[in-house]
Amino acid sequence: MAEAIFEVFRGNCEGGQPATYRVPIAPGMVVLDALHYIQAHQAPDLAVRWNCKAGKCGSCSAEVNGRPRLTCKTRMDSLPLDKPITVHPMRAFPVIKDLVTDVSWNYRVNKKIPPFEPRPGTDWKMYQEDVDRVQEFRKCIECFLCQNVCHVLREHDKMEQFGGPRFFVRVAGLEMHPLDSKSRTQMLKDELGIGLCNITKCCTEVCPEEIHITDNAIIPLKERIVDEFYDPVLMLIRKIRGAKQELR
Amino acid sequence: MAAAEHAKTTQAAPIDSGEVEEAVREILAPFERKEGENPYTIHRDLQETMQNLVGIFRNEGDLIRALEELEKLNDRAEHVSVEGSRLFNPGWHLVQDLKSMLTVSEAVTRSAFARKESRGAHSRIDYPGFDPVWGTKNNVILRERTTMTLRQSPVPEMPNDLRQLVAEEK
Repeated sequence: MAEAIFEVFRGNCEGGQPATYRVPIAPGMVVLDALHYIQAHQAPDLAVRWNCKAGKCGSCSAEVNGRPRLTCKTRMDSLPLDKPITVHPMRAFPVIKDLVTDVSWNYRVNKKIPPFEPRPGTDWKMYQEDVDRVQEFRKCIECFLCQNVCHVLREHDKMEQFGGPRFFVRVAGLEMHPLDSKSRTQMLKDELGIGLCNITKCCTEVCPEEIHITDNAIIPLKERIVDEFYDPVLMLIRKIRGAKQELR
Repeated sequence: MAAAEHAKTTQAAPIDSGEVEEAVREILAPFERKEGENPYTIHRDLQETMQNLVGIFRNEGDLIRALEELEKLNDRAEHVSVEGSRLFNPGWHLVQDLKSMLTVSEAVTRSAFARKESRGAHSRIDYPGFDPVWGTKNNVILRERTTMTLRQSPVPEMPNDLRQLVAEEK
């Protein structure tokens, strides 16, 4: 039977290094199966987050051969077996143990975002195309692979100033909802720092749900902010309209 | 609401610190034991036993053997070892989960053994048909100290509106 060599990070918040394990490969195996094999036979205390094993819960995020992936969706037959396969925790978040990282920062950011609020007495009818637009954003499984790969967070450590692609998707899902009554553009500009995004699209590349994060969420939100705060023609029009309202 | 009101006015029941210490000792024991078994091996053997002997099609001989195997697995589960720290240790978590898995497996096997008919997902090759008498009974599992006992309780009366729906379906 074929065998693969894995180099899995072992360590904690203070540091660590990869340990080598040999794993027999069966057809249809995914990286998570290999990690379970290592737990069962060689390293019973290997800390791994996982749950559904079906690419839907977002628990098993890790970096396989340097790429952020869900380990339950990374098939062994998609990886070269002639070299060791590296499995590391997500680099943008502090390590708790081995492959388990502390992603609680994300939940703190989420609390800042005002939730959906319809106008009282709204007629609950929407066009299918408006629904389709936001349904894409609701596919998000909160795996945080996009947050992990975004250079603003990963390389430049700007967690205090930047919400990250996941939350731009969340805000897009709220702002573009036809029945939502709140405006989150000020917050996008100031607290969530959407201006720091320079649309390098790494987030879109790693999203396991294939959400077009940059094209369908971030860029339209940036356009809304430009319209509201930076477009001189629109500012003039709003001023004129505003003055007309007062005259009436 | 009523639960919240009650909670505000009552105090927690006193807990025997001796029991707490005993529980802590029991949970940490696998770290102390040096020559014990790997919990993952027991888990795998439990999976094999249930899959082969208490699977989709069941018969008396297999179920009796399953109960014997489960008893052996219970003994093995008392002597597991784990290594590593207490921080996020899946092997250690499995030791706790194994107890529940073994309990549930035994309960399922005992019920399957007692129910000498086939109904729904429970298929006995040696009793392939419905038995209307069993149709009126549920199996109830009880713990008496460390042993498991089985008794029957009557199936509750079907409410009238549900009975009507079932009649209409036919």
